[in-house]
Order: sequence, then C-alpha cells, then structure tokens
Amino acid sequence: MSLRLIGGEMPVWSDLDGRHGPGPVRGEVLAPLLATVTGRALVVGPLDPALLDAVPADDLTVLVRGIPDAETLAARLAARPGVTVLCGSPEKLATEPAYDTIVALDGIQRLASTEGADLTWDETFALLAAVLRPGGRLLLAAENHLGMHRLVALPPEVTDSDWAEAGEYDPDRPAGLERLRDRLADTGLTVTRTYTAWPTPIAPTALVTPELLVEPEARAFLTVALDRACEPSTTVLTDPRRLVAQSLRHDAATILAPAWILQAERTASEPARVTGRLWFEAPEAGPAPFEAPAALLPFPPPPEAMVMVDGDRVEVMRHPEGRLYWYSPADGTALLPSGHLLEQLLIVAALRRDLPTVRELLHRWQSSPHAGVAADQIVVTPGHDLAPLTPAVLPHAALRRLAVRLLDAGLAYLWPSPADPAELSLTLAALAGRAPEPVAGTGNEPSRPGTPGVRELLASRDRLAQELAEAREREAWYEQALADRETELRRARGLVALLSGSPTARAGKLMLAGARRARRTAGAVARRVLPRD
Amino acid sequence: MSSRPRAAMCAWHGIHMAWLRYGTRSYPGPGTVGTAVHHANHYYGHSHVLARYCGLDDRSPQRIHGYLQHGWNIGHGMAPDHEFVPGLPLFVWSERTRRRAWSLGRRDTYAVGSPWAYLLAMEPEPDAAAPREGTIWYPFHGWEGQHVVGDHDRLIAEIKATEPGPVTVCLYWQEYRATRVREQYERAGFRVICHGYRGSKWDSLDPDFLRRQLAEQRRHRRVASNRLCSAVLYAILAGCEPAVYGDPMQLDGEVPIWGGQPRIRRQWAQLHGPQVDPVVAREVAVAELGADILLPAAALRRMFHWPEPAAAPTGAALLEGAR
Repeated sequence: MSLRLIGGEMPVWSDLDGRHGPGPVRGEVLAPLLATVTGRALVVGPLDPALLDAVPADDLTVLVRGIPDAETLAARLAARPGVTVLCGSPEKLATEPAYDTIVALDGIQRLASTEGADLTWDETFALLAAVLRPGGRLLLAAENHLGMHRLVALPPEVTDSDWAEAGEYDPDRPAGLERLRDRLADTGLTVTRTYTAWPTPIAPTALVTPELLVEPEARAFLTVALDRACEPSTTVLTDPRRLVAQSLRHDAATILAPAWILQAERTASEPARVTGRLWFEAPEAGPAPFEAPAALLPFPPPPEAMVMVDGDRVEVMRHPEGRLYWYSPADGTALLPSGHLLEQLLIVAALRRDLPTVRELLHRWQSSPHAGVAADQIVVTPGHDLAPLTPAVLPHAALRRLAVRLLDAGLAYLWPSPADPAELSLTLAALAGRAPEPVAGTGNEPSRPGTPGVRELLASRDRLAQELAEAREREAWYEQALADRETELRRARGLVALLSGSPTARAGKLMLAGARRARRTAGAVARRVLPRD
Repeated sequence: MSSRPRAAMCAWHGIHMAWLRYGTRSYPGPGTVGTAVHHANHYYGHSHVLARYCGLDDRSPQRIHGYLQHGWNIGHGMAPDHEFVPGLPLFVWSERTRRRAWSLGRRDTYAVGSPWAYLLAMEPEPDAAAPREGTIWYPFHGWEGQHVVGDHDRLIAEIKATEPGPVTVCLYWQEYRATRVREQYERAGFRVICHGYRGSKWDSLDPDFLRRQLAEQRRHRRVASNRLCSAVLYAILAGCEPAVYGDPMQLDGEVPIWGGQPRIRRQWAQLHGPQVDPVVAREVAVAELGADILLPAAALRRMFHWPEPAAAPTGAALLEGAR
C-alpha cells in the first residue's frame, strides 16, 4: 500500500467523517457491483471504506481530496500491497497511467478540491474518461435531480462541501438518464447495464434495473421492496412510499429514481490489452446451460434487482427463458410471485364500496396460513393464491398494520369508525370474520416517523379540527336531547306521584293539584285583567 | 312545535311527504315528533331486528350511533328536511342510495342493507310453507301530517278488475282507524288489515312490526300498490310477484322532490304495470334493499358502535359465518 499526494489536496478536509456533508457513499447493496471490479482499477470520491474491502482487484487506486481521508484509507488498506491511495484534485490524474476500471459510485461532484481547478460536471467527467483504457469499464453513479428523494424533501441545507456547486442549475450536467447515456456515448462509452438506486444516492438499499421496473410480473415485489426502502427517516413534504408505488404503476419509476448507476464499456481498439475479467462474465465456461435456478449457477447473470431486507440481500434474476426468480439467503431461490398486492386490491374494492369483495378478500387472507403476513406484503396471484413476501407475525398485528396504512393513506373516510388504528383494526377484523380483539401497536407496525410528512400533518390537523367541530355540535345536540328527556321525566314523575298512594291519598293529591292549577289560572287571569298600577 | 315548514318521509311509500305548515298548534298524531334524529332508528322495530341479528337484546336495542334509513327513498335515504348532526354517519340500505347521498354532499354515509333484508336472512321461508294465495294490496296512504287525496272507489274498481284472486288490503294505521276509508274497502269484499303503528319518538315502539308484515306477505302470491314503495319491494324480497298500477293519488299539498313519482316511474319502469317480470323485480329489490351487501353481525355491531354480545362466537365459527 502506498499513499501519494498528487497536488491540490485539502489538508483538513474529510468527506468520510460526514461532518462537512452527507458522508461517504455507503450501503451493502453496492458490494456486488464492486466485487466484479478487476484489472487496474480506480475508485474516485468518498466511498465507505468497508465497501473497498469488496473490491477484489489487486491493482487498486483510490482517489480522495482530503488528507485525513487519505490517511484513514491508507491505514485501513495497509495490508493490501497492490493498493495506492492518491490524495489531491482530479485534474492531476492526467499524469497517471490509464485504468481498466473506474468506479465513481458517488458520482463526480465531490472530486474537485478547493485547491485545484474549478471543474464543472462535464469537465470532471472528461478527465475521468481520459484515463479509462480502451476496452475498460466505467461504473458511474449520478444523482437524479428530479428524484423521489428531492421531490419530497424540504429545502436542502447547504453544507461545507457546496462551496461552488451549481447542482441542478448546471447547464453542462446531463439532466435525465437519456442525456447521461448520450453523454457517455459521445465519449465512446457504451452503457451495458443500468441500475436505479433507492432511496437516496448516498445510501442506497435497493438497486433495480429500469427493465425490471416496467416489468408487470415484478411490480408487486418491487412495490413491497421499494416501499420498505423508501420509508422516510426525516421530515418530508409527503411520505414518498405512496409516490413510489404510483410511479411503478405508471412505469415512471426510472424517471423518478433518486439515482442511476451506469456500467459502461469503452470500445476496445486493441482487445488484447484488456486485462481482468469482463463484467459478470464466465470466461472459462462460456454461456452456462440455464436449467438450474439462477442463483445455483456458477456464474449467474447479473441480478435485475438487489434489495437489502433485514440485513439480507435479496436478488431478482431473469431466467434466459424470461421467467423471474428471486433469491434470499433465508429461503433460497423461487419463482417470483406475480399479481397484485392484497392491500391494493382491498383499497380498490373499498374505494368502489364493493363491500362483498372487501369482506371476501379479508376473509380469504385472515383464514389462510398467511393471516399474520401484512396485506401490503402479500401477492394475490392470477390464480387467486396468496403468496407472502415476508414472514408472518400475529394476525391481529397484521390487521392493525393495515389499519395504520389505510389511515395514513387518507382513506379513513371509507369506514365509520373513528380515524384511529385500534378502532379501524377492530372493524377490519369484524369484516374478516375474526373475533375483534383489541391489539396494541407492535414492532411490526409501519413506522410513523416522529416527524411525519407535511402533507400528513396538514391532513391530520384538518381531520382533528373537523372531529372537534363535529364533537362540539354533537355535544350541543345531546345536551338538548338530555334537556328534553329530563323535562319528559319530570312530567312523568309528577304523574306517577299524583297517581301513587292509597285511593284517599290520590284523591287528596288530585284535589290539591286541581286547586293549585285553579289558583295559577286565577292569578294569570287577574294579572291580565286588572290594571298594573 | 315551531311554525316553520316540515317534511317527513314515509317508509311504506318512500316518498317525500310534502312541506307542511302546521302553524303553532301541536303536531297531530299519537306520538310527538321532534327533530328527526335517532328515534327514527326505532321505527317499525328496525333497530330491534338489527339487535336480534347482532345477537343483542332485541326488546331494548342500543342506540345506533348514526341515522338509519327507515324507508325506501329516492334521495339520500333520509327525509329531505332531516336535521343532520355533524359527525353522525348515515346508514343507508343500498349502494345506490349511498352514491346518491355522496353526490348530495353526504360523505359520512355507509351502505349496510335494510333491516327487512336482515330479517329475511334470519327467517328464510320454510320449505314446507303454506301455499300462497291472492294479493296483498297497499293503497298509497297519508300519514300523521297529511291525508291522501284520491278516489278510493275508482281504485277499488281497478283492483277488482285486475287481481285474479282474493285481495287483502293493508292500510296505514291512520286510514285503518278512519272508519270511512276502512269500510269502503271492506264493502268491496276485501280483507282489510293493518300491520300496526310504526312508533313515535321513543314511544309506542313496535318490535314485531316487520315480522307481522313478513308473515302476512308470505301468505300472498302477489303484492300490488298504486305507487312503488318499501312495502312492494319488501314483498318482492319475501317472494311475492309485484304489480304497480292504478291512480297513484296525491297527498294534500304534496310537493314532488328528488323527481317525485314521474322519476320513479321512469327509473323503475320495469316494476310498473299489472304484470311485472318477477326475476327483474327481484334483482331490483335485492339491490334497493341491500340484500346483497348484508354485513356479518360482528361488522354491523362495529358500524353501530354496539357492544359484543355476552357469549360471542369466536374463531372458526366466526370465520365460517363471514362467508
């Protein structure tokens, strides 16, 4: 391992420590991309040092701009003899020998140094492309400025690293995936594979190809996977999860993905000079006979999707015949269930007020072995079978989770129970034919961020204001009803008192009552007839 | 009673009973009717039937937290002048009525099916039922606030000319008590009955009203009236062949609302005439009475905020029952 200062380095700057910006690009889901980097490889920009361990290349160069970061990496990679840590600004790369592979998973915005040239996106990209050998490969990430993460974000905070960032206004930066591909093509790079990255460019937990995002058979799985991935952890304008589901239904998820990761190859004028193995290539065996499930093949085709689920990486692969499989370390390989999510079918039926269908769906779910699997994680196949995508918990907890999600989606008006998860889950249980049992919230409940989306806050405020106004009017009405009943009760009690007792007592009371009435009448007449003065 | 105009809805004939001005005198009739709210839920023993369906005490049903439709209706299910207390839901019979209510601005409306349909679900016609005979005829009637204006003699002549078998004429309690009207029908040779009094505000409630009506309808092969109304739809669901013909008559001061009789004749034209396709009629009755959307008892209890019965069935029995 060697550390070289190449000029333009920043002495007290760190991208890795996260104190001056969002920290390094991180996420275990990126490891498989790095695992195939071979040959003479260059990794640029802040990347989680743990991910560098996944790069198997013997001849690895890492470029960072801050000296503290360079020292951190040097210490971490000290045991790897073929590793070089370069520290400085990217224009100095021009003097380095060309590379077989260049990895820029943070994009190229955080390469320029305060001490170096003031580079635009386009200029930085040109610098990198210049040091890529013919036949070499580029792994480039690009943030989507129209991405879901930005659409739901509050105004961003400007960080220390934004000293001269034109960002979304940069006219030279390719806006949109197509323009990015075109820019690569102009540089002689052919895009061989694209992944969309979710939920943020900095810390993706799900990578999905654009082809899979528009695949109807994968829609249910992806809705679940991206729903989990995009759970908001900070205050947002609106919960992005419903937007993600909608973008999938509209085949617009690629356009709205937070980032894209492109794998591109530069046309080799001299193929013999290419070292290392091609991307996901099986050089020894050639195309393997694809009869076994994809995950069991020695060199499976690159996954169509990689999603982190509870610490495990779940992958979706396409069989050469076209069928989709999914693999998880826990359950192995299986056909990917296709169809509609139970929750969506329930919502559609409820919105149409098709109560028999709502009941039928709830009953089928709750009387099945999958009663404890959340409705938003069960696929109803075309054959009307239920295919769970996650393990089961308690059935009542699953019902409560559904209630929470329906309320959060603004669908409380579909049921006459108060807009409260406990009440609605009891109603759902009753509709499903289950004995209603109050269930407290559990760990499986969809997380409602401590700081929910602004849209949800406004909706809650309006709902609470309306509930309060209604409660006040109801109280006034009940007050009036109570007064009426009390008057009626007084009259009835008077009558009972008048008619109770021995015959003699009753006669006496009647006489007294008659005398009182006569006296009142006489008084009233006298007041009318006699002059007041 | 205030002097402002009032209106009410008749459950038998599903019509708006016209805007009336009573002046300052008290409301006539056996019971007093104040603001039209919960007490109407108990009319005709509706809440009693539903309480029984829900496994609760049907002698003293709980308060329904909302307004229950109590008669077939071409509006939002309630009387046109119904005074809604915000936040109290409307429970209407059919999905069509719910949609109509929504379009009329009533968001908090839920279709739950009619008490009649629940009664029939609880008391299906026995296989060895007595043979049905004749026609049960419901002349359009007045109510406590309005009297019907029409020629009963001419109607009697039409009935005689149309009905093939013996005729039972069912009068509203008010007309039943009016000797002149009752005797008119009796003189015509008809059997004259009355199902009873629907009940008033928290008073004179009749939990067995619908059961009596059902027993009577199941004795007859046909049902007829001069207006399409709840009773005709009830009888269709109870297995009678329907007919709607004859002078529809008018209420004293009747103001058609929501389209009135002309709309009813246009929209449900297939149910009018001395002979009606019973299959079509049944489809209409099932939809209008919500017989196709009845809820399980547990769900109905949730809707009304009613308690669980003392010995509630659980587990598999409930799941089976939900089918």
